[in-house]
Amino acid sequence: MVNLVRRIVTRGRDLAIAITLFMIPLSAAAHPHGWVDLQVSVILDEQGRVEALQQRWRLDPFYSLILLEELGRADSDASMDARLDQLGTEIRDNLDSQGYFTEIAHAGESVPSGRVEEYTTMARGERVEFTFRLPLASPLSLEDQPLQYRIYDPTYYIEIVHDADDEGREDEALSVTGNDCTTRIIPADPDPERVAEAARLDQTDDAPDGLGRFFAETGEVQCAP
Amino acid sequence: MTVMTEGSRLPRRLLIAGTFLLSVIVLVWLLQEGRGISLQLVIWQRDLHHALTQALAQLSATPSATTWSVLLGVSFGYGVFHAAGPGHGKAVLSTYLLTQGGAWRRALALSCAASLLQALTAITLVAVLVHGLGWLTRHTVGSVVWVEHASYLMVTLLGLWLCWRAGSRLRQQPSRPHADHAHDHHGSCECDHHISPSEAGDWPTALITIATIGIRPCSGGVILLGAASLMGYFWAGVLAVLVMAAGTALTVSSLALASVMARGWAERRLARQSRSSRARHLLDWAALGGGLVILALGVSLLLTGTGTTADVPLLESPSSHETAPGNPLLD
Repeated sequence: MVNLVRRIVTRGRDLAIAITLFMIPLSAAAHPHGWVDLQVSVILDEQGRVEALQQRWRLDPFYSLILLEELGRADSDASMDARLDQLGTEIRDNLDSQGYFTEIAHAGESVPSGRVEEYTTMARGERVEFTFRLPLASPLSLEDQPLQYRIYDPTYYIEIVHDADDEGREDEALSVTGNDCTTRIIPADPDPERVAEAARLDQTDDAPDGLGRFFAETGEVQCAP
Repeated sequence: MTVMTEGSRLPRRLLIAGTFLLSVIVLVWLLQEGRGISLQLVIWQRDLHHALTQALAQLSATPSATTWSVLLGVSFGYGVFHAAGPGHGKAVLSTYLLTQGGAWRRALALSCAASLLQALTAITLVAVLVHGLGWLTRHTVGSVVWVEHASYLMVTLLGLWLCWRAGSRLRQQPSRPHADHAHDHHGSCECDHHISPSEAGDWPTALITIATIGIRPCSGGVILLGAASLMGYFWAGVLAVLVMAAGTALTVSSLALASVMARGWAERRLARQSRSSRARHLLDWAALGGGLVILALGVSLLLTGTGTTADVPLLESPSSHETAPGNPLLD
């Protein structure tokens, strides 16, 4: 009996060490520190081909507040609208180098997008809104295949989620200009294993693709041919 | 070596067996759900961040007992779960306690002091930079990068110090007058309250450890404070960050206690198996190993600048642009 207990104690120590060490690599270092409420409108041309993704990003209240403080304190004679425009240009330039955080796919292939030329920035209530039109490199005929997109910050510092308005009517966050088209937003279904892996990789900076990807919602548009 | 009789040790053994059983349950759960925990933590933190933002917005719109308690409750939860993910602080603390030893009281004191210091750093940063020097909140949040680098440097220094200390103890081992000290106590170890010679006068090490862990504020706390003071509720932010620290202290102390228990088991086991002088020797080697682990951690953090790209991309100050290329919206 005593020997048994002793053996159990030994095992217990090993287990305790194992548990303690186990807790260390459990990484959740990357978690969102801000978010964007997203609204997307898929724009079709006259031939029913997808031409662009019109996106509206509503920055979260804290981040909006922090940006508005900065704009309010800038010493120039420019009006607030002009300052917001200047901010919009900065955001556009930064997003351009990152592909506007937007990934588009159709029929199993990645769809290239162009450069954003049309964009506006507004302060609505307490939120800063950045609206822009992301054109596809060339108009895309959907045929009978759905178009899918994902919009996310790979580092997951900012979370980007579909949300049409303050009431949170998510289904209205994705619309399409065509008549015979249906839309749906597929919630993220992160694979715990890959999240654990990415969370660890983030720590060493080697992650080819960060945590954000796994938490990204997928928007889907299907049009009748 | 055993002073007490088998009979009087029985309750203690039952306690150990009980703890063991609990450990098994936790381990089985970890093995099955371990990967899920990362995911769950990220989801909880995300939800708590949303809740925190809303709570502060509601408080500033209608200050009432309800909005205050919601804000403080959410802050506490944020602290608990934010600490559940591993920062390097927790890695340092558990390695320190596992390999250097320390009574549970010391572990608790270290955890609480480090958590409190973390909150105080955030409060000082915002108070001095925003209110004192008139910095923009965005640049203040970005300055966390620099404090973070300072903390990496401190991890390295702590590692060096621990290595040097263990090394010098190993050198004087043969003539060590206290070599048999462990002999009297281990085995019947009711000595949690006892400060062994190696621990006495160890306050510098404890203080360095606290500073190493606590000097880096969590960006979430700084953002909250910054936003609160922009809304004219700086003191609500201060209170929220302090409550957050209480939550952090709760999680960090659990980890610290687990480390102390693991260390205690290892020490008792060693004392039972081998001559105590040899056990002491082995523990000094463990201390050296721990020092090396912490040193390696510090150096790798300094080299890779881990965390900066993941942590501060959005609100980065222009001056630190090069260190974090991945800023999503702005430089």
